[in-house]
Amino acid sequence: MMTDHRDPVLQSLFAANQVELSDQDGQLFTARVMAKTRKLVYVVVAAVLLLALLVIASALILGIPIQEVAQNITQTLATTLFDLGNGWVSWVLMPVNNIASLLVLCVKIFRVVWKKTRLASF
Amino acid sequence: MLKAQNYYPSCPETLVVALARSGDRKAFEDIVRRRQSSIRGLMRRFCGDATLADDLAQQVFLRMWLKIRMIKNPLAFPGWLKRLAVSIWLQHLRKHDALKNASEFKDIDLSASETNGIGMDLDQALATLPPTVRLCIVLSYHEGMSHGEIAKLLDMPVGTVKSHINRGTGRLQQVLSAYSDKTRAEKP
Repeated sequence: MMTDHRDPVLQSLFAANQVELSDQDGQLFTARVMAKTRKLVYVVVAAVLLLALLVIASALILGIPIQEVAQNITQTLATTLFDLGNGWVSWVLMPVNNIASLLVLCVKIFRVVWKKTRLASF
Repeated sequence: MLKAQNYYPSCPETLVVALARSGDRKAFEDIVRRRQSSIRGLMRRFCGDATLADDLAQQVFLRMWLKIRMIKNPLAFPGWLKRLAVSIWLQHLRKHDALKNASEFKDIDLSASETNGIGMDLDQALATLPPTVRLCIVLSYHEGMSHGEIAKLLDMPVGTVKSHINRGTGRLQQVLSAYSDKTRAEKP
């Protein structure tokens, strides 16, 4: 069990000084938040429409080149890392024996390192 | 005829959260009404400025509105909202580069002077603490969270949290020594 000692004087100061907000103030705050969410709805809808338009336009203009790039990327990601022959070992390791798995692993490691360095900034 | 929405204030929060998650605006409004006081209070303790605290609290609720569908378990909502508030506060600090070179205590002397009232003095004393120390102190004393809970919330080692709280407590005891003397004097 972890002991979390708190200074009694400080604790009583914090307890005696709880922020009290009036009901009317709370109603005003809630109304302001709700008004902002309404504005946010328009922004989100506009952003989604814009994105949809961009996707449609780029699909029309760049459809075929994108398909070719996607095919190339898929083929590259599926490339096996190690030649394990045609035995059962190659079948078992097939899901992880490719560039895509390596990339996923790199991303995971990067995330862990990034988290640690971000913590170090505390 | 009464609408179901009129009953939201008397419903358990988990139910209202589940309704808000499914896109019910009235349920969302009810959550804001229920939680605004605690989030604004927490933000006021973090920053010591009522206007800024209200702006940040608004950001918390707007972010909540955008992300509420991501809550899988409505029972986890209180912790989730607190995490959101802390993350908005940390974002604000990062945006203003407040985390850089922020390990030193600022100077203030309340012990020698007359006290200005608990609230003002406590806010002034908290303002002397480095942001992360202040964050840990507020979560511990204001929110009553354990060191383990704070460590989990801030994604920090428990040792670091303990160290921040010890440093902060020492500093606050020093700055607010007038109140310690008063408390001792009041004891029979």
